[in-house]
Amino acid sequence: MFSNKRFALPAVLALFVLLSAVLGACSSKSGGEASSSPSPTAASPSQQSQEPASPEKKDPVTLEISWWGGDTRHAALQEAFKLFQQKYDWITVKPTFSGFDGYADKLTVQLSTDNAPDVFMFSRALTQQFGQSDVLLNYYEHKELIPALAELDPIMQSPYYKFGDKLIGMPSGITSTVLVYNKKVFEEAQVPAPTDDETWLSLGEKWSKVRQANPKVFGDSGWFYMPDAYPLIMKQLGAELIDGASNPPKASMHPDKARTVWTWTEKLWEENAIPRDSSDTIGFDAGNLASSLSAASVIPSTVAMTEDPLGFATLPKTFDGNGPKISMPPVPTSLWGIDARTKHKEEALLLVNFLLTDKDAIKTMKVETGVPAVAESLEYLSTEVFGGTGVESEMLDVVKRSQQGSDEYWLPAQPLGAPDANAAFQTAFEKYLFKQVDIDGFLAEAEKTMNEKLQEAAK
Amino acid sequence: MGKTWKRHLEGYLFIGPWFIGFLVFMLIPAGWSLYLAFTDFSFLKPPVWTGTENVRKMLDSDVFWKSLRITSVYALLSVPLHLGTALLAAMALNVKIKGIGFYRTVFYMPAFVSSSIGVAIMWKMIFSDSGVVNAVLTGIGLDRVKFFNSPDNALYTLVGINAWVLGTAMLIFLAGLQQIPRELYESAKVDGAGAVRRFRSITLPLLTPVILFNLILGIINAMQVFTNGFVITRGGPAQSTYFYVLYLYEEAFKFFRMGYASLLAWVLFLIVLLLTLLTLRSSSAWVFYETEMKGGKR
Amino acid sequence: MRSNSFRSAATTVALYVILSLLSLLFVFPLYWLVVSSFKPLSAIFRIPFEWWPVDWTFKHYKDGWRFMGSVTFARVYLNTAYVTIVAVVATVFTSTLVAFGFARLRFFGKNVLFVALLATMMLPTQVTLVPTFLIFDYLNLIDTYAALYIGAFFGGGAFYIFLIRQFIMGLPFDLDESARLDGASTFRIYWSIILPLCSPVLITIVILSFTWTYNDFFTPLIFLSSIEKFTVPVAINTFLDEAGTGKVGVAIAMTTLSVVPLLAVFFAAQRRFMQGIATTGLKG
Repeated sequence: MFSNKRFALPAVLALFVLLSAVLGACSSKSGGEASSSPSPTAASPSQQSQEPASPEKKDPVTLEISWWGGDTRHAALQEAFKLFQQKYDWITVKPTFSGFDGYADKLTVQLSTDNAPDVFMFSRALTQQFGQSDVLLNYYEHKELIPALAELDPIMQSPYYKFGDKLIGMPSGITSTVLVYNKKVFEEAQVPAPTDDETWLSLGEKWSKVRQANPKVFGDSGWFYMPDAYPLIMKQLGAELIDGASNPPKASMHPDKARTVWTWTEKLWEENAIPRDSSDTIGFDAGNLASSLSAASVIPSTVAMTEDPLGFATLPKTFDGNGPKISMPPVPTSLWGIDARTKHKEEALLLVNFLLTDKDAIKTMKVETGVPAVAESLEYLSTEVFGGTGVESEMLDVVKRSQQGSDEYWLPAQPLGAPDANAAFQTAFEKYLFKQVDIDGFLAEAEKTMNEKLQEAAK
Repeated sequence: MGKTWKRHLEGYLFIGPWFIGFLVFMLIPAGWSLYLAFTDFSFLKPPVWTGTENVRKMLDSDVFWKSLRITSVYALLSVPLHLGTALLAAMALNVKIKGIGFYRTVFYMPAFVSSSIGVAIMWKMIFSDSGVVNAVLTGIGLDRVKFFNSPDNALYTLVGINAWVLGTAMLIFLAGLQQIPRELYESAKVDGAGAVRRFRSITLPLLTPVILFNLILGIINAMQVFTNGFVITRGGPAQSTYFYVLYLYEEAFKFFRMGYASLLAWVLFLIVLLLTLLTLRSSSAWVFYETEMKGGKR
Repeated sequence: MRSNSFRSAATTVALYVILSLLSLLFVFPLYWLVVSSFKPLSAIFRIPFEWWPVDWTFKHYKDGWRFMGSVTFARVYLNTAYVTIVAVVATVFTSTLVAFGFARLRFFGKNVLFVALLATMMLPTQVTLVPTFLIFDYLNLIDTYAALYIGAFFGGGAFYIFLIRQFIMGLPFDLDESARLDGASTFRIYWSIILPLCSPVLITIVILSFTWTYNDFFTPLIFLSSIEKFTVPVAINTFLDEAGTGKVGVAIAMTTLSVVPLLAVFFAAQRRFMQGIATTGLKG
């Protein structure tokens, strides 16, 4: 059974494969090699201008930038880069992006092997991790090249942006946690829609009433999984879970105040106003949820997923109407970081500044990377681009409102070891949630394990 | 002796492609990660040698033992289940009836989609409180079951899903069955052997090389289970599906403790190696290679 | 002999019934995907499950095919096809070569190396990621197609080698010996005697390596940066935002679409299962 025919196919395939291998290995990475550029003359921006004076004519430079997101974000950013390249014609932007899954892992590997893009998006959850090394550029050392920093500095005094004295992330946009609710469900249940003046107690009552009117709808999707809401409520009752100032940082559950919260929660659980361990909390799209705590930055995609009209309110500012009104300040949706080892620091800073301040860029990007952090850009977007209507306007508006009307703006402390401590809290909480321990067991274990983690990290 | 040299060289030439790749792409990274296992490495700063500190930490850690236990339970349940169903399916699909190709494709289908992104959402929905599975159960008159939202059931649900993806093992069994010469069956029939006897004396023994393969692969894969635990349950609820490799992954990429994660990887390696060697050792007792058939009769 | 001598008509009918019932079980998730891909986003998660779409839409497919505009999903398919075909062919050639070596030849250190072969499957890839990345970088393989199929040239992986080795070890030595008596070289034995007898397992290798290379998400994710080079899994991933929100419908639609080539390859390949029967005839 040995004929010439038998050889033909394998031979052709083998040749094809060999050729491919050779071609594949020889092809250089797409994108040109970037030449090193001479250091620019010191830029001296005028008092008012939002951009540094253009440096003199320079050698061509290619900037690599990466981010995660969905296709609308990719399209918007690429448009913005076109504008950037028109303005700074010696710079070519080479973008790369992916979905969210795996993005951070890849970025970590790239940073670890000195293969990272010049500019990259990163999650605020990683700021502290990244900050412990010298791999990210400290924006404070280059203030003159990034004028937007001066205006934003007050809101960036948090562990989401800084590690110690270094500022390592500029916000691609900001967001707040807000209450998103289904107008139709509230109407049908004849319950007044949530307003900015709710307390947690009054909100809970509304959830109960909605549930009574319609046993298929949950008042909320269950909100203790968000690391932000529970510490906020405790703070509104006057207790801070993590004391970042002490050495080592200390976690306290404040059992008396905690029991206030959890007793209230258990009542809601019993009524099924919020789910305990149900898996039917699919959301507004299935008509299952009356409301949900959500990051404002995903409002457009949430709205796209359902046909019911949605409304937006800020989070309650007190637990029961007593005490000071406390909210959390906006947090970065995500951050732009610059690799400290890049050979094109100036160009990278130009790009970041451009994305934050340039009017045409803002107009293109709209809210794709979050609400603009620079106030002027937010105003421009809100009034001139959206004209005050549409879901993006509402998103901008609710983020604005979340920065008004409170006595204090507070963020939970994030000392070293906070990620482990938060995970430990989560573990203890889930035992309680699934009835493996009771409330006292949960609080005791949470306090114990959180402190273990904090102490370990402090060593 | 010249002859011996030639023989050895020939062997190495044949395994050459793998051997070279092994040295370059496997040995170097593996060696490096073994070194890391005794360091503190956070990706962005150079590793710092800490000796046995990681080992002490691992042995003291509750989560380490817990995840090991969860993974072992998973392996103990899913390997036999997976293999058994795959073998049965392969036998059923080995017959030569019209349209068998269609059925084979259908049975293999789960393997196409099992690694896809959209599938996690699908599983969550199918097994939710008002999902399809519960709809069927209540339709028959049974009570609703909490699958992924119960710490008691989530692990078993994952075992079930894993059995559903029997395509790969089934395909291999199918190939193994195909390789058994039909003449053997036919002459056995002529000798008067019944179906069960034929199975026991012909099919099973001749399948043992392939059974060994699927068994070893099954153990290796089950101990390293990760994807479904990551995309569907995230290790929950209440850490009931916190697989070992999930623990490893979080230590590495969430908490930036790559040194410790490397140690975890090597511990798993040793465990799986041990299990595999034991299986291989036992195989001399029950695996038949190299059948001798002269003239089709034995 | 009659072709259905093995069973009676009743058994055949019973077989059809059982297979059909089980098929429902196996096909359902794919059915879920297909049916959801035609539903508008708001209907996909509706409870109870809509067995048939109430509102039909092709939008997900349109959006998905458009992908980035400049780079359409046609390009993504092309990339995936290229990488997959190269990987499959290279795998078949090199894995059989290596497997033959382990199965038939005797050489110094063989048993140790065989265990080493198995051992390569036992170390989770998360911990070798960084050095592997460095090595690839040193070899200038980052962001190339070659990074995705280079493994196929080195045996393709322990899985295939081990599998083929098991099969070859099930073939009688007499075949080799009589070929040697005829003066055949080792390579000739491998190529002309053993390889043809492996066709069931070769078909399996083709199917598996095709499916796995095609569906591989991790390797292209880590090693590719250029969007023009994206393969199907990473392209689909770009539709999903954090927490799985975003264009879920598009992801589902493209996933469904991506199954079609896999189905075709599988169906075509498994037909050959019936045709390759191991021969027992010895030469002479």
